[in-house]
Amino acid sequence: MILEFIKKDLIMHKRYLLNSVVGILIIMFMFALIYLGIGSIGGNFMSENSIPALVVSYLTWVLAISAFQTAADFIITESIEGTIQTLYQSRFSFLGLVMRRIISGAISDMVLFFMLMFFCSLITGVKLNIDISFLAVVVLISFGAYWGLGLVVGGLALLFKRVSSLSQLLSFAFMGVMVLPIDKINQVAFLPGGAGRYFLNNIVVNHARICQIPIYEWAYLIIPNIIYLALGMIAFKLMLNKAVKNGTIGHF
Amino acid sequence: MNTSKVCVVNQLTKIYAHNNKVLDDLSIEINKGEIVSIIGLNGSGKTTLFKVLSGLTTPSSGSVAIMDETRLVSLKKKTYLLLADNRQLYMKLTVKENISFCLALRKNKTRETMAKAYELLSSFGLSSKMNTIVQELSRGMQQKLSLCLALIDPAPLLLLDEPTLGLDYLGKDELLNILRLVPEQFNKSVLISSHDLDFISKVSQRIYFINFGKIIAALSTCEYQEIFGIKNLIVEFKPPIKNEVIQMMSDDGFIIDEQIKAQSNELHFVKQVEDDTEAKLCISKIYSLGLDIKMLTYDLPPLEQLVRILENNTCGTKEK
Repeated sequence: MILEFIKKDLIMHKRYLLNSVVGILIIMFMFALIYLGIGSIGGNFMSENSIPALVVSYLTWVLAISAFQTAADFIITESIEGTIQTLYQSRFSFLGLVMRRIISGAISDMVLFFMLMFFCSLITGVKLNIDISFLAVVVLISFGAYWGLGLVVGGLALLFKRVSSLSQLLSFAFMGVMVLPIDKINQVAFLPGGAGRYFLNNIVVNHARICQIPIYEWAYLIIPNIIYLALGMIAFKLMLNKAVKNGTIGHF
Repeated sequence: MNTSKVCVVNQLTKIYAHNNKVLDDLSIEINKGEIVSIIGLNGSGKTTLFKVLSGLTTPSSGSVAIMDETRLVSLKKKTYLLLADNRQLYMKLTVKENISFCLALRKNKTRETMAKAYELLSSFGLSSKMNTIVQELSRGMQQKLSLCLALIDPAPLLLLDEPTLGLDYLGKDELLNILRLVPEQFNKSVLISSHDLDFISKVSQRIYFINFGKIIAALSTCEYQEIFGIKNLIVEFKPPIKNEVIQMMSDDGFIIDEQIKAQSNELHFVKQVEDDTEAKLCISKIYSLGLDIKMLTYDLPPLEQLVRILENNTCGTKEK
């Protein structure tokens, strides 16, 4: 089913190619604006280390939103289009199906991540000398919290239907987490994407390798993300049961 | 358990929030190879019954048993019935892509089922539309596609909610012909919910009448034909209408539709006739009056009237 979702995504990207291309161009354009803006203010402040950090922070934020929206928008869009009943009547458990959709989204997101990283290198002219596999592992683990929150918003959409304002609010909140100083406020590590950002900084700025990270730091990354994801799945299941009891699946 | 049944709904009750009872101790049975219809006014509980059968909501009490291979089992994920409804198609995918994706969702995507689906679509006259995006298809074609998907599914009962909605008479005729073949060719029973009395009178073998969540009548074909045999003859004359005319019509068994009179002050003379011969006789009598006729219709009574007849007619109310 994961492959079917990927296949469906590819069909839609190909069918609505202009929309897909413009979407990527907007991401790149926004990055170019940020990069040039910081460059014009900071002048020589943009060091060789700060450019990769900027690239990775920006792309992580983009992917955080994408990961969050994979779960939330999946349910909202299918509800609007009336196909949520088709999904619910599938032979998969509904939560299982949503998780498969999330995984297919993560695979697409990782492809997009490396593609965008290449374009960002072209824009900045700086070669990103980083451990790609380490980066991929960290990004994927960091997605746990976003998926969990996406499941909560998706579950709320099943019950309350229109939740797009909450979705937008969370997207901005993720941006806030991206700029909070993690080395000064330890609690940031427990916010969605907080520990992930710390790891990414280590990878990009300090050129850290997987084996150099102490176990307790891994725990900071893994445990909160697992908790977010598990809570998201539980909340989603509870809200799904409530929606089924109320007979509101498919209403929009 | 009796294996001649494909679906047994037993004392089903569904109560939504605020104590809103939508299904009230409802029991129905559907036999193998049967085409059964459920009719009732808006809000009578038809859609909720279909939601329960397709797993979209859970009953408050009562049970649903569905045939799974050779025996009746309680309704569960594996036995959820597929609602053949074109609103559930992926409008931005092509016919072929819809088949592929929907079969994958039902864990039923094999070379054989894909081939079967294409064959079925060809027999429905859709072979040239395989690569057409579904939203570009006519409503009738979309209906055929959703029917095709439901027919390939191994579920023993096909659920159709308002299948004629938006179809022209040609589309209805085509659907009628397909549905008549379903029990024999696809080894499935059919449960239809509709307001289209004409359509269901042609296709169903049994009809359940539902009102306020209760089955108020379950009629076999013969019993049901008796009820549907009654048609309404409605006449409206151009004003002014003299009292003698009203008296004459009344003597002939016509009554004035008080609802229309109250709404528009127009006089609609209505008579229930049992056969076409009686109708012809009445119509020739009306013409012999030599008055200007504004409107004359001869049709099935509206659903509301049928429900009223059934509620008052103890002979017709044979709950099974």
